[in-house]
Amino acid sequence: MKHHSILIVDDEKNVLSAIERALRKEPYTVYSADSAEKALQLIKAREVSLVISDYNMPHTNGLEFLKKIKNLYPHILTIMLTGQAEVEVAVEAINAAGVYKFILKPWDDEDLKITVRRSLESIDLASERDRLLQKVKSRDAILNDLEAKFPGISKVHKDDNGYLILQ
Amino acid sequence: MNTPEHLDRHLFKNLKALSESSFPKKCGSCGEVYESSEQFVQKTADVAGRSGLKSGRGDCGGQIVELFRNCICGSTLMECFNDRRDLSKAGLKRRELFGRLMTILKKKGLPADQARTELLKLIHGENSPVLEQMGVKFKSA
Repeated sequence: MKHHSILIVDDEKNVLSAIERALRKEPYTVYSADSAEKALQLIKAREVSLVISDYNMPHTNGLEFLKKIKNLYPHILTIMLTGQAEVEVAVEAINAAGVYKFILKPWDDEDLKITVRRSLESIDLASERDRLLQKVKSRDAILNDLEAKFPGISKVHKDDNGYLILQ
Repeated sequence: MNTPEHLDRHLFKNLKALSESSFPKKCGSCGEVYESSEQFVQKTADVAGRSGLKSGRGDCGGQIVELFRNCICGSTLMECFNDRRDLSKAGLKRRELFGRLMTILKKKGLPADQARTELLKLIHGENSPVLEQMGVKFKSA
């Protein structure tokens, strides 16, 4: 697994400390910001894989903040943390801001660790998928070049049973 | 009687703010100020219908209680407390006795929440007509 960095955003500093404590022994770098503005500055300066953000924040609503992240940095996964259990908020967070998970305060530390771990694993899987797709595309390009130079070279002959015929 | 106010009072009786210096506490969203930990518990609402209590480990590794409450503006605030739980030999013995009494009362058909509330009443020197009706007698120390 690649080394990941996580950014926690909450205007309540005690919440930031509590999440930092919960993730202290996990193999990630954890950054924190007490406002959306500071968080955006941090994302500009550092490589961040996952953002865990509060919903209710002064000046910027957490949902707007996460929408902004989705638009500016589509590779960053986001988790919304909230003390409001309203379904509408969760639905909008998932649909409009592409939030990966919705966690209610107070969270269970073990659940939080598992959620973070799975989120980062899904980032790793997506990047591995992209890498393999790129590899397949480049091999396709080589085959297309060869086919252009030597027509029929990439043609595959099969017998009636579907076995490849080597000529 | 298990009104939210009643539960809050009980909840608070066992908690002590880790850092009284964090009060007055100001909500970052609306600016509401909570002068003390008592006021913080009284003037805020529970989080999504739950107690808002969470146990955790403090910076020094000790057990702490994190209390999440919703400010009047809806923003979730959090304060750290430690449990006033007495871990001395006598304290542990009292807890063991409390656990045994809970088991007896539950066996007698009292719901766990009510059994705890009634036992807490006795611990705090109040009368418990419910337990008296059940024929439970207590000797004062």
